[in-house]
Amino acid sequence: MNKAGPFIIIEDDLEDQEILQIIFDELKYDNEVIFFDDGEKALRYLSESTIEPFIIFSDINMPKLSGIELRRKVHENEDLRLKSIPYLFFTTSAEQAHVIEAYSKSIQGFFIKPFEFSELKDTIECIVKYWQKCVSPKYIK
Amino acid sequence: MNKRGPIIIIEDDLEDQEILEEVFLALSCRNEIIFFNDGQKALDYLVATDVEPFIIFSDINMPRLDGMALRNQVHENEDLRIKSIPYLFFTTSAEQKHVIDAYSKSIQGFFVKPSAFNELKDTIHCIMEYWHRCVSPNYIK
Repeated sequence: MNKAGPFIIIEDDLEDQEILQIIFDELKYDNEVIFFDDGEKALRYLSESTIEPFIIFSDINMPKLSGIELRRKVHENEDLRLKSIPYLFFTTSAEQAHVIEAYSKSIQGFFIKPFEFSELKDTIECIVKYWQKCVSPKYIK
Repeated sequence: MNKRGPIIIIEDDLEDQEILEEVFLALSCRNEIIFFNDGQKALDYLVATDVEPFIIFSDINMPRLDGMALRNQVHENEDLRIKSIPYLFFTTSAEQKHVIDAYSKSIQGFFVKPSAFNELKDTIHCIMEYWHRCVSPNYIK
């Protein structure tokens, strides 16, 4: 978890991407925001890049590689696991089975995207604040 | 994760327990707060009870069963895993190896206790807000 690293957002709805972009612009974080519209592209980037992201916000229902599968692959990859990137589900709806499955594998957050712009913004702000307060392997001796 | 359930705090320093009690009081927290002085007592309680806790705040260096071992036992227990209780490390200091080990096992938060009361209060508030915003298996169909 590199607190100065980019936010990775995996979201196949382009309208939702735009709204999230506006929110991150308004919140004025120094971190870059990188979007992917499917899980496979995100996985390729995450495994090939030397960049250490700060947080991964991941949709669940996506073409090619679902969020559940993507998270499993990220977790099984030793190099990625050592990067200690908090992995959060950030979806439009939540099936009970997905919620239980995710928590039983110790998901680091599972959020349903609020419809209201201001509430969505508050949620993002709350998430970023939480992980900023956490210790990161990089910043201690 | 039962948002109305008790908050479990495993902390062997009695002074720290008192300060935390004051913080939750100051935040007008409605959840019951249950303290344990060591990991073994906490594990015995968690395994035996029907109660579904909201969040577990756990110290790392403790007599008998330390926080890392306790978390492993909680995670390996099927019944407890299904209860989906967010497990956070909340410690006075953080050794690099503990931090890396915890994140590689997808810890749901790792905080170094701030020494100033207001900052501690702010951290607890942020943690409570984060998990309140998350979906819980109990609250969806």
